[in-house]
Amino acid sequence: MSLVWLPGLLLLGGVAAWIGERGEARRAHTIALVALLAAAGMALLSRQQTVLPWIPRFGIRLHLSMDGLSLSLVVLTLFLGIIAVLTSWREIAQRAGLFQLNLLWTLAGTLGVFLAADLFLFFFCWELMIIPMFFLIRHWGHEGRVRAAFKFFLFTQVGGLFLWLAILSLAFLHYRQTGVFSFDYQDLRNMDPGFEWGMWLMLGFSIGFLVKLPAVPLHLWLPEAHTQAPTGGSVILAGVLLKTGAYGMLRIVPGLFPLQVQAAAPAFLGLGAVAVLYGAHQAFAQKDLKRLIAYSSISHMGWVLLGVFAGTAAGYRGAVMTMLAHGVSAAALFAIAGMLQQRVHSRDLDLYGGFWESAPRLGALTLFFALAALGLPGLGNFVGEFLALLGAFLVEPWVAFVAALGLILAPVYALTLVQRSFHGNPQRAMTDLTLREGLLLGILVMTLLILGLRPDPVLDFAVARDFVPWVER
Amino acid sequence: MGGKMNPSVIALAPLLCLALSAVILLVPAALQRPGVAWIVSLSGFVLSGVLLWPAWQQAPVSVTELLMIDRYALAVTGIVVVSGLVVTVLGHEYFRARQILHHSEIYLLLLIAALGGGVLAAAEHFASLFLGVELMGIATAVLIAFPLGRVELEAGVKYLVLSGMASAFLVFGMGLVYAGGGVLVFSGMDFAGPGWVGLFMILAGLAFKLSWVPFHLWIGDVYQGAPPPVAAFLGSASKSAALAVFMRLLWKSDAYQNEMLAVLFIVIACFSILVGNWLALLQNRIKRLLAYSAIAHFGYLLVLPATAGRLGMEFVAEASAFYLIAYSLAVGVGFGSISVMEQAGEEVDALEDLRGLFHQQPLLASLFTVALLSLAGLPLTIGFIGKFYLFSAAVGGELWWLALVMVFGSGLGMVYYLRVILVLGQPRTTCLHPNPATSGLLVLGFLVTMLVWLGIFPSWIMGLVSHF
Repeated sequence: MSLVWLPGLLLLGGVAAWIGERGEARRAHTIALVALLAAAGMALLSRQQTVLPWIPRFGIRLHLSMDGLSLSLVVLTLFLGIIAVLTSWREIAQRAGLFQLNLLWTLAGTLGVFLAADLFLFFFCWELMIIPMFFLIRHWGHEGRVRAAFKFFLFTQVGGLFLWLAILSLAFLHYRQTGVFSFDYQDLRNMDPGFEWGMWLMLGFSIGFLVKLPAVPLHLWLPEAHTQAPTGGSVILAGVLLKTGAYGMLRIVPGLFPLQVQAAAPAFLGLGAVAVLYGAHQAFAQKDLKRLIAYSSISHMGWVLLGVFAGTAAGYRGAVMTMLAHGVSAAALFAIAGMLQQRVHSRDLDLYGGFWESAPRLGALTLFFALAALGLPGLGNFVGEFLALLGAFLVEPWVAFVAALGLILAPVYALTLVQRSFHGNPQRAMTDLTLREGLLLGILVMTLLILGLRPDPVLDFAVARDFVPWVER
Repeated sequence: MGGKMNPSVIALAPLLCLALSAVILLVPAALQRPGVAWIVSLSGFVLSGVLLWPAWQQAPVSVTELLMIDRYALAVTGIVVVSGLVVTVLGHEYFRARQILHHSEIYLLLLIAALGGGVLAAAEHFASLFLGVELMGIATAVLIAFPLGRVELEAGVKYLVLSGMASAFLVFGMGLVYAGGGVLVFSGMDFAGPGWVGLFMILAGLAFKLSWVPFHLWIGDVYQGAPPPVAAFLGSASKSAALAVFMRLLWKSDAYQNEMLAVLFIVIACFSILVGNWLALLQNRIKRLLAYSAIAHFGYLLVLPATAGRLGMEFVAEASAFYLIAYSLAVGVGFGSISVMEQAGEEVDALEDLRGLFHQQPLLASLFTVALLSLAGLPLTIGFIGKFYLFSAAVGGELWWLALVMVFGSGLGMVYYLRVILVLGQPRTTCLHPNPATSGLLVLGFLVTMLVWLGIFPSWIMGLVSHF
């Protein structure tokens, strides 16, 4: 089946959910769920490559290709999409059709980003996911949603336009060198932009990706956006949208600018280490539950940078694993935050406490995901962080040493989270997990366990063939 | 019509058809029969649009020294004709709904203005340039003032005075160029001695029409005061024709290769982008917001003449034609939607007036939203491809500072377009939007379908505009 149908199905599904709602939220949710399940089935059956003519004037083709890395991320996207729909089942009652339209279109853009092998198409999809996400935050978010939505939009949009300029100038360079317009990833890879010029272009690409990742000076949009988004939106933001930035840093930047990346690797490693420590430090100081999780995401994404720019095979595998495992664990924590907020009507940790009495199952699962976030061996996050650290240590031991301090800070914030919400004197009783919620979290538990206990098959499958480690160790 | 027809007649047919319709229309206009006038105008525009096709096959044809009917001219004439057609349909409903029964003359004026636009698009001589500018300018000024209320009259007079000023600049500039070089035809024109001053004055005259900073002061009042269907015509047809003649003058006279002019264009572009977007960002009135954003959009377009020396005029002409099509579609739907909303008699002025449109008129609100998204340049709309052309030009011409200003400007632009969309979605208690007429919705629906279709599959239009 043609790969175009993967994002195409979600676009159509979104419209169907919008039209099919007819005043009954459940109908919209069901349609969205069906679309996602159908896309998931299709993802497993699809072929590896689709090339269709699109805009021949500029050598632009609908070129989608799916290798192990893409497929893993596509599966993650659809999987978390299903989780997001399930978490919204009760929460979103107002204009559910429109909500699902925006959710599915965001996911369609994300799928396009993971599949595109033509940089025009890549940017097309990159832009496509921003606006629906903006509306998700703006319309269905919490009290500070307006500011958060515009902040998210401005940061990602301006970052995206830098990316756009870099893509265009790469294509024009190709045109000057060969006389043919092409936006094809492989064509542009085979071209030498010259070292210094390549540095500038790499900077343009990196700004676009690092805003999304986010790396530390460019992260200002993230805590607010994650906090204010509705639960489904937070799940998608943390679980999937951040991964598009990581995907860019993982595949596109090293693929297009191998020489420049080697030269700039220490700077990126430094950024990674700073993100790990800063995120963890900030997370500890938060009173707002979702804000805490949001900062922990920044910390985790720092590991991805560390892993990629170590330039070793181990580091790369660590980065890929961190992406997958963090996607699952962050999505789970945001889902839990949504459940707590629905019960307590607050995200303020000061108003939490002693929930274990009345909701032991929810408490146990929260503890599980907190342990996953702090990197407990046996769970996916540990494998990722360990490999990333190992990779970085072989190259820049000092950077790795500093970043490793993050492993001390992570338990501090993760255990604080559990302690402040579930331990202490019970302030109020609340209902424990419903069947739907239990099922949903149960699936996420299984996934993390599989990733943690049997990481090798996943890693062997997911590591991109086109990555060439530049440090042989 | 047997035998061989003179190619210049075929090439000129779309313009002749407009002129002929205007003459025929004098009869029903004199007899105060707006219904008949409407039908004449409608069929005139449709026929003229159909005649574009044989003309396209013939192009390029030089019709005397005055007009050069090439594909660029025909593409821009196409914009003008479609815009005229849409405005005919929308204007009919708009004026009827507002109980202005005797409105035959607007069709007459519309046809004349469209004729002026067509002449401008093909002008290759100072005489035809001036003819086109005056035909269009004077007709549009009356259109703006049309129902002759206080506000409209003020806007119309403002436009008329500034048009007169622009014409004065143009004529004086032409005189100086003629004094310097002794030629009135664009091609091979050299700007010796006073000719350079003349060229600057001509460019300034056109800059009035195109509302580049610092010649932008009129645009807010005029767009605000004009009836919305007329504003749609002003924003799409009139601007496209003016830009077309601007490009052609630079193209044929080889002035685009002048480095100093390129620097001037870059400076004006930066100011137009920043000032236009900034003013629009501060606006709380929808028509003014669209007016100020027009300054920014034509600021983006200035990147094209600025890079023409490096990229070649072929690419630049293609990019400008594509962007004009994209922009005209979007702005036509924008003002068209406002026109449909205003049919009830309730004026749409502040953004607040649009509140709740999504709940009460979901279809109209969706159409308006797509137009705004296209103006913002988001994917799945033609605006994205238009922006792709302009960014390509900036990058291909290596104008990095201008590219950064464009990035910043379009970032700002998206914020205020999104703000409008958000207002549409907010709840409202009072009901203010009665059912709009179906013909208006049909026309807008068609335009929006084009916006989206061409945004996903732009190849067809690209093929048309890429071989000038």
